[in-house]
Amino acid sequence: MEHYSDDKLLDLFREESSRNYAYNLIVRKYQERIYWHIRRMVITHEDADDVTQNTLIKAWKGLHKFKAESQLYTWLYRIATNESITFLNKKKKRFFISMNDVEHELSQSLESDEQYSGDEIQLKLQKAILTLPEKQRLVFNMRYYDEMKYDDISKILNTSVGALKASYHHAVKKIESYIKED
Amino acid sequence: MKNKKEILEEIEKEAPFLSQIKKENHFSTPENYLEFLPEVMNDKILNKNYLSILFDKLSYKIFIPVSAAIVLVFVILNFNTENISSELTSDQLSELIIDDEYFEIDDYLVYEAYAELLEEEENEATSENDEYINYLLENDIDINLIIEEL
Repeated sequence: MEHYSDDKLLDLFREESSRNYAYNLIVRKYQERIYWHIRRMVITHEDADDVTQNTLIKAWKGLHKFKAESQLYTWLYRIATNESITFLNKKKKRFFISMNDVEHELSQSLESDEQYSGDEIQLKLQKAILTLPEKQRLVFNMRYYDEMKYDDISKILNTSVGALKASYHHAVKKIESYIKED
Repeated sequence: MKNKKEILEEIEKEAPFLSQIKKENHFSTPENYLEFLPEVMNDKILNKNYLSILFDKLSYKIFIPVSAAIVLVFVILNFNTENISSELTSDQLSELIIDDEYFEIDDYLVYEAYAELLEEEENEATSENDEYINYLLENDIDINLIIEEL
C-alpha cells in the first residue's frame, strides 16, 4: 500500500478520477484509530462497527468540503466522537434509560462480551472508565490510550486545554480510587 | 515520544496504582474485520453513488411521467364524478328536488334532464306511428283511400 501524506491524499480525493482510490487509502490509514476510539466508547463490536461505518460515510460526504485548516485525523476523530455520542444518546432515548444506566448496561456488555479477554484488573479498569461522565471518558481515552496531545484533543472536543487538563486529572483520580476499592 | 513520556509521568504522579496496570487492549474484533472494512466502505459509497445517480436519472425518466399520470388520473376521476351527477335520470332528479335533497342543481343539469324526457316522449310517438305504417303496408291498404273515405 502506498503511504501518502494527508495533503497528497486530499489532492487525490479532489480529482474525480482518483476520488475512490484516495478515499480507500484514507480509510486504510485511519480506520484502526477511528474504530478503537469508537469501540472504547460504545464497547461492543457490533455497535462499534455501525458507528465506524457511519463515521466513514460522513467523512466521504464531507471530505470535498474539508479545508486543510485542521489535521485530517483530528477532523475524522471529531466525526467519530460526535457519532459515538449521538449513538449513546439514541440508545438512551430508545430504551428510556438514563446515561448512568447506559453506562451500567455497557459495563454488563463488557462482562458478557466474547471479544473481550482482559483479566480481572483490566476488567475493573474498563468498568472504572465506564463510571466516568461521557466527556471525561472521551478525554481519558484520548489521552491515556491514544496518547494524544492536549492541543489535538482541544481541537476535537472544542474545549480549552486548561479545561481538558482538569477533566483528565479528575478522571484519573476517580479511576484510581475505583480500582483501589476492595 | 515526548508526549508519551509526559503522559506516563502524569499518571505516575497522580495515580500510582493505575500506572502499574499494563496498558493493553483486551478487546478484539472478528477475524480480518479491519482488513475487509475498506472494501465494505467502498461498496457502500459506490452503492450510494449509484443510488443517487439512479434517482437523478429516474426523476427524469420515471418520476416526472408518473407524477404527470397521477395528476391526469386525478383530473379524470374528478371529471367522471361530475358525469355521474349529470347522469341522473329525470325521475331521480324530480325525486331529489321534491325531497329537497339535491342542492347542487345547475341549469345545464335541468336542461339535460328535460331534454331526456322530451326525447323519450318523442321516441314513444315515433314508434307508435311506425306501428300504424307497418300495419298499412302489411295489409296492402292504400292510405289515400282511407283519406277519401274520411
